[in-house]
Amino acid sequence: MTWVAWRQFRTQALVTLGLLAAFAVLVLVTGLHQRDLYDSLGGAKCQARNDCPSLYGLDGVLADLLGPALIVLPALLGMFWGAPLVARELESGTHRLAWTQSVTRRRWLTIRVALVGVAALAVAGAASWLVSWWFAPLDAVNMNRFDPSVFDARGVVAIGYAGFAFALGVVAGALLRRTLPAMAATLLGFIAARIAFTVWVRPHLLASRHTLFPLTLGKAVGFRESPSHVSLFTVFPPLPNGWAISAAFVDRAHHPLSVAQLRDLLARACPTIAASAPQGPGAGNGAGPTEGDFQSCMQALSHRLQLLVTYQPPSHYWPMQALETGIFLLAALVLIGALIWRFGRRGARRPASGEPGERTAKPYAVAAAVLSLLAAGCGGGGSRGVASVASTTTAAATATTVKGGALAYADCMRSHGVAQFPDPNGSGQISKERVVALHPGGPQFEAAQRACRRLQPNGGQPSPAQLAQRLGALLAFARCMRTHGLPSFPDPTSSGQVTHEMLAAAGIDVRQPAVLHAADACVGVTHGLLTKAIVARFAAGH
Amino acid sequence: MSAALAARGLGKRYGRRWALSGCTLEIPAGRVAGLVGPNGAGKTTLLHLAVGLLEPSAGSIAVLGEEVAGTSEQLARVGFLAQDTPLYPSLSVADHLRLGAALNPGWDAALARARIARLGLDRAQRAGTLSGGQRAQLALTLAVAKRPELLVLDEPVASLDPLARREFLQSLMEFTAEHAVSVVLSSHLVADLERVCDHLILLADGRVQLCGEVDELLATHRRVSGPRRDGARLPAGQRVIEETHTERQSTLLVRTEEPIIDPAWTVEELSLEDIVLAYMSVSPLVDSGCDAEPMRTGP
Repeated sequence: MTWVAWRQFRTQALVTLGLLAAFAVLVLVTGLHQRDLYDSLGGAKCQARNDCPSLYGLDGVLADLLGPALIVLPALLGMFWGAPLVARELESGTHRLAWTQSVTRRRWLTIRVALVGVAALAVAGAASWLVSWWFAPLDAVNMNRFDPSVFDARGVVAIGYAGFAFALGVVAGALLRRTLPAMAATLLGFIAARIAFTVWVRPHLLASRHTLFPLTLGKAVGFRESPSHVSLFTVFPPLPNGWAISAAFVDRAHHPLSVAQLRDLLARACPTIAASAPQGPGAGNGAGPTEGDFQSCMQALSHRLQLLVTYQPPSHYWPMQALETGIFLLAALVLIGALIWRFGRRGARRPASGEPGERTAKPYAVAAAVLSLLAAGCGGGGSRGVASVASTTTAAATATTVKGGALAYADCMRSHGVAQFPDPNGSGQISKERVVALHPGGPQFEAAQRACRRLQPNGGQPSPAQLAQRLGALLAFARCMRTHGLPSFPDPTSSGQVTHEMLAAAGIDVRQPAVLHAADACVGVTHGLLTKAIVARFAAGH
Repeated sequence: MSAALAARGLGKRYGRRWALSGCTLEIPAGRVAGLVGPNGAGKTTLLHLAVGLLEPSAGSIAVLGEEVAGTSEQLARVGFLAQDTPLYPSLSVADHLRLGAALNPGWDAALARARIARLGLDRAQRAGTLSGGQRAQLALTLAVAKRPELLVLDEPVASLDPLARREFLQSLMEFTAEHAVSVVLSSHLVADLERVCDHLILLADGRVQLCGEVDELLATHRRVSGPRRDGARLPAGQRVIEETHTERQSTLLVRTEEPIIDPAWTVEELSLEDIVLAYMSVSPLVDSGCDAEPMRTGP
């Protein structure tokens, strides 16, 4: 099974390996160049000196593209490796080949998923390592490793994402049974899961910390002027390599203040500023608060207010990377586990309970089982007992009939007096033209045909349309005969035949001239099916 | 030897639609059994249930005396050739043989090699570029080289031209003659089955309409015709399957164990196709002799 799993994955694996190798060369070459550039400027110290080189040309393009590329990679693995794994088998019908060999479906799925899944993790890990290495000098300067665009595209999380996207793809493919819809579902599901996790779960992966910042104008706090009033606002204070999750104004007792409380406080501490606002822009000519007013106001406020910042410290970076990776991998394992369990659940499953039809069907099933035992199944009757004994000889006998086919028919026709009957051609067909050239329809030909019908390649049966035409003509003929003085003339059989026996049973002697005259008069209604010659031959054949 | 395939009250539902319902049948082992029926009769569903690709919604199905459970031991005993002979288009003939060897402990490599050599297939050729007949032969090779006790074939010749069809059936018959193997073969072409099968099951609307040994079916069915008789009374043991009447004439298709002696009737022998067509067109027979009991078929 391992060989089969590898053989089916080989092309994809080799193509991806080639792309990954090309990617590695690009990253390593440009990364080394970038390192030289930063080292020549004293590494991360350039930030302090404010002379860090800005990236331009290929380096600039790569800095913009490598991060997003790594974020997209897991989705691609899920869509192109995960989604088709089961869906393509179902779509092309090859599951009927794969799942009827001597390997259980469960084992087939487990081994294929394990091989491709581990490869997906390895590809994501390698790509993530390359990208992290390339960005290392920039990250050392930017100190923003918790920024979502950085956190998601460095370290080990890409491995977790890849595992999850792959599992999602496999499950979507198995459920939707179509590759394209499964790919779309994988992409949407993966994006939704990533966004939900980043927004709702990641901030709480580890217990966050709190710190108090004094109020300093221009450092994370400021005044916002609007036509109606002036208010305080805050942004997250800079935390090098840390992650500020929220910031709020609190009083000296560390109680958060509501918007109304803040407005009251502002009005009491800085009456000039609070009073200036309602005057509006029209009355603002020199009357508004000055920069000095704001400075002294902030100073007055800083005795009563502080900024409480909730954050994840830099030391939480690797534990959070590991946790997020672990959670995504666990989700992947749960998805795959559920699918493998469902795959192997043969026989245990019954239609959902609560459906009345199913419940009442059970007693019938038991009764049917008992009855079928009593009745000994199909109506093979007494011959069943010898079935197994006779099996080998029967099979051998049938083998010769197969070889016979059209050839046997031709032989039969010749042995029944149609000496000129042609042999079938290479594809087993008998030339119609050559048969017509023998002037079929003569009594001998018809007798031979009757005798050999069982051997005739298509069973010798006319098509339904031919039969209907024949029947119509013969019925018309019979009606005509009845109006020509033969009221007992019979209708043809449903297979379109009128025999001497039938006529004799109806008391008609075909040798009587009156019958022949009537027939001659009536052959016209058959549109050529019957001719005077055929009637004469029929009469003579008695 | 237990039955090759035995179903009891077997049903399969897709959503609210029953593809197969109340199917009770038994196919004896050691036979080449033909499964016929119009398109949509449930042939493929029945065969997929037999090889474990589907699981029943109702009833049970046993293959070679064991309830179908999808274990590897059971999978090894049954060879399956699915409709349209699915193969991996990008894999070569040799790859397919290696796949068969890797997935089947009982793989008969010599048999597979010999068959491929006799068919003149290029081992390096991709399956996607093979002709329909070659694909079918390769798929048959995979199914037989696994050395199953039961070979299940779903419409194996439906898409083949007459020559490929004959060659395929011929090589199938050669295999069944050499190795003691039971075969269940489905087709909507009765003419194909007539040549190769010794047992026949007719499935229509998910139910078994007719079953029995081919020779017996041929021996017990007759078409009789004679002067018109409404509600014709027939001797006990004779049953009318199909009747057509014209103004003067009655034609009946009867099943009878005894010879028909009434001199007013003209008696004709029937081909298997005549019999099958007659049974296909009649309304479901409750006492077809195949259904042990009419099953409740759900909503």
